[in-house]
Amino acid sequence: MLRYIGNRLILAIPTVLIVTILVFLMLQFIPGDPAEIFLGENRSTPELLAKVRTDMGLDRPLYVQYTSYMWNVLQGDFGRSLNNNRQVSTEILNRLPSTIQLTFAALAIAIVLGFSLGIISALKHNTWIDSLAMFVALLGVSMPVFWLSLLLIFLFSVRLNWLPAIGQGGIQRLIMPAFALGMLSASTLARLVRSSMLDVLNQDYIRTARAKGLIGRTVVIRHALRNALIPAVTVLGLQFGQLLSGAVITETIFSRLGIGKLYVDAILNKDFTTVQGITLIIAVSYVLINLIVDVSYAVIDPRVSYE
Amino acid sequence: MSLQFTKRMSVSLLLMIVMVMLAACGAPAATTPAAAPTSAAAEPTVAAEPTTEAAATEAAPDAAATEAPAEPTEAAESTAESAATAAPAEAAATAAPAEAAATTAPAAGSAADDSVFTYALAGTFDKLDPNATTFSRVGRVALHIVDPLVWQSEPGVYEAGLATEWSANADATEYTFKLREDVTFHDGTPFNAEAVKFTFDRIVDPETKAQTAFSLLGPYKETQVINDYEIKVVFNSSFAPFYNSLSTSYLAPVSPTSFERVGAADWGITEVVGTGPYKLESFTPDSEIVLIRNEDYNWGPAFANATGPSKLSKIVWKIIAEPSTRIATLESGETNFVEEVPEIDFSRIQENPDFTSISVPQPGSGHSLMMNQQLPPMDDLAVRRAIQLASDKEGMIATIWNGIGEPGCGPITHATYGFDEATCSMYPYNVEEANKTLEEAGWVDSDGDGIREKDGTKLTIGHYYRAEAAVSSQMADYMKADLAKIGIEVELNGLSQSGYFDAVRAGKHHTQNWWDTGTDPDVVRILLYSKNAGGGTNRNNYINEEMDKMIDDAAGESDPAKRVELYAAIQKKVMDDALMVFYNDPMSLYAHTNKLENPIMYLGGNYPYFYGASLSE
Repeated sequence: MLRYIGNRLILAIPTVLIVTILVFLMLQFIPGDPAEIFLGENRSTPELLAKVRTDMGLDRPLYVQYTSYMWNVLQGDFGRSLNNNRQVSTEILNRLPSTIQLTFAALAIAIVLGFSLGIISALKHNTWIDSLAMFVALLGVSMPVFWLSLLLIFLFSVRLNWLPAIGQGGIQRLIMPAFALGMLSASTLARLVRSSMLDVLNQDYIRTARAKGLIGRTVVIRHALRNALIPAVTVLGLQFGQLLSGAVITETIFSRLGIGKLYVDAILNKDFTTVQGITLIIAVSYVLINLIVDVSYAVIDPRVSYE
Repeated sequence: MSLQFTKRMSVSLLLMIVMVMLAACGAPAATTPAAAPTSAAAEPTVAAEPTTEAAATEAAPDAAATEAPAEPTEAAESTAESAATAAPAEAAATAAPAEAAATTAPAAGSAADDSVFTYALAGTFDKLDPNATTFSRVGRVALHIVDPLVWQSEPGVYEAGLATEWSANADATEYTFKLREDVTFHDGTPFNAEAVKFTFDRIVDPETKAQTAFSLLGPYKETQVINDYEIKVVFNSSFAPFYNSLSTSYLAPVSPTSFERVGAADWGITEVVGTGPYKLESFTPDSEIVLIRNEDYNWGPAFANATGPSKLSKIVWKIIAEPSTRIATLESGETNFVEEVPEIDFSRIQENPDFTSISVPQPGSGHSLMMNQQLPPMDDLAVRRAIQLASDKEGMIATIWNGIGEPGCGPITHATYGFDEATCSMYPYNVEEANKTLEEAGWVDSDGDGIREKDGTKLTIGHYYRAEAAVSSQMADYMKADLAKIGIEVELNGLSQSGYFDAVRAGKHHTQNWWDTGTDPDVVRILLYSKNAGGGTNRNNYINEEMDKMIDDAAGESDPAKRVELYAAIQKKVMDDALMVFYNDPMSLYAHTNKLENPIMYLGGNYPYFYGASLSE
């Protein structure tokens, strides 16, 4: 198992490298010159433009720009933003905790809500409870994140005055954005868990378990859920990416300082250093999350082995 | 096996919970980044060559444009108040007019209370450096950290700021200032002539890459230090708008000592030191700015009706880009003052007795359409006139701005000094007349496809706009529908910010939108001056020597009455030649809690000012 994890981690290095190269190349295809964007209109004389390009290092060949950037990164220097000259590492570190907090809180909500809705509706199959749970799930899938966010703010901040609408720090400021963000994943998960639970509950071994006289809870948790878990966990790993991109919207609406918004702004400004810094972080975390998912297969399903 | 499984499950569950908790604990973070200044320096390769070209500062780096109202023109969020005679504090406050004027009750002395005041900013900005920024938001915040040399209490009326006396020579090329001798910067260093010289010299230094401030300094040559508290500012040519420039926060002196200690790279991020009523406590980029009262402050402007330190002990500026959230925070009490209130929410706020809403007609150039004269068929006067006549301005304002604003008449808005009514009646909405104009010019639809042709060329124009800006997209759609009625086909090219700039700077556009704030009629220079064509802000690519001369003459005229006449002539020529379509002269919309007393809407409403303001219980 450890060897498997080690191998995967080594394989992650080229993956991350390729991602950064691709993003770097893609940025070159976006129209616009970072130096011109930085300068605006007013003083965009050819001389000043040339100077800014030199300051930014844009006058060097592409491969030199890329390799010197990566070399600096290896030494722990993420550089300064091309657009506002702030330290990229500081900018990212200031925002990362808030985004991680939001993403994991949303993930937690997705897991708790998704599994409970899914299991309940599978157990109460074809009753009104099932219909209600699936209706909630349908709502969750259909509601755009921004709309749900605004509704939450309207209800809990403006009308009831229970929760602050903006900012980060403390559980109070986390509930609404996490719920808005997690709702979509929760709903996807609920529908998935329900159908795979139904699948499993109809299997012979469940009937056998019941025939053995095991109590309901044991049958559901140890026999049914465990087998229904595999597809759900796979989807959960993929949901992580969705949560990260959803974070852009939630962070904007709830005015949270986060990676998502920084990323979008940096792309629009062709702020290469900032984009690469965040790309690295996201690529690494995506690789790690998927590794965790793969490893968890072995934990959940003894038939899967990485020995 | 079952048991083993349960164990594993609980272990992984536990892990998950720990991770979530870890994440939750490590969350808030984010204070002012303390970054080591690196050598972003290098030798200046370009000599400081201040041109006379005015404020052409289109906010290219305004990434916030994605959420903010965001015209492609976005100039408004960045532009220099070009020159003299700013529009005043007379805001058309819809609920409580008195509060918008600079004349409210004195509120005796400085019964300094401990109220924290929270202001909702509509978007982010680059650095909190008034001398280098492109964002008027920075000017708005910085006005509380720095003091200008002179204040402008009413259009063209100047009051003592850091300068106590001032005079200019006859041709307005040399200005002399006597400075206050009792002022210190927040870092304890004295304010003096050297500080002013340092500030101005830094603005024109190419290394600073200053934008708004650079434009405001016009044909700056040098600052001569006469003695510790007396300076002479010298220009290469006449520069009458200088006092107006000085009355903004963009030219306000900052502490040379602090700048040299912090270094160019981090100045404006970790530290900003001025002489103003508030000190910078912390700045978290893209999130919030915290200012605390300067207890030593004793040199505020007379029109603020206050003395000594400010009453509000702390001002927190929160950046809330999403308009709906911004207004929600006012309603929930999380903020006390909101800028850029969405038009759609404005009437609701007006009706709410807990809030005061303020609408101030914007000085500058309204929401408009630039037409690239270098690209046929926009060089055809008949086509441009037909587009004027076919534009349903009232309908557009009702649809896009929820009825807030006034149909535009010419290159400067109704609220701008020098505005002339005469052009308002020139192009009434008249589809028939527009069709007739095109027919007479030889544009006819011979093949019956609904699009006119002339000499085998279809009357098709390419409109470029920033797709992520809601207002721009709506204006583009509306225009397409308007022009379809007269047989002009509009191809819509909605692009990202950088793609948009690439296209319009290269002159690929037939049309694009524009919008800009500025308190002086010299904003026409941005739109129409030859030197600003060919990739600059004159995306009309209008090159006309006669117009250049008219603009220069008007800017150099010191007699106010004559100046107004000269600008009337310019406005007439712009509309005679049908150079641009002016759709909407918009309003700046603000709202605040009724508990706020005595805020001042400085410089035409662009700069709410809170020295002298207080929060009642």
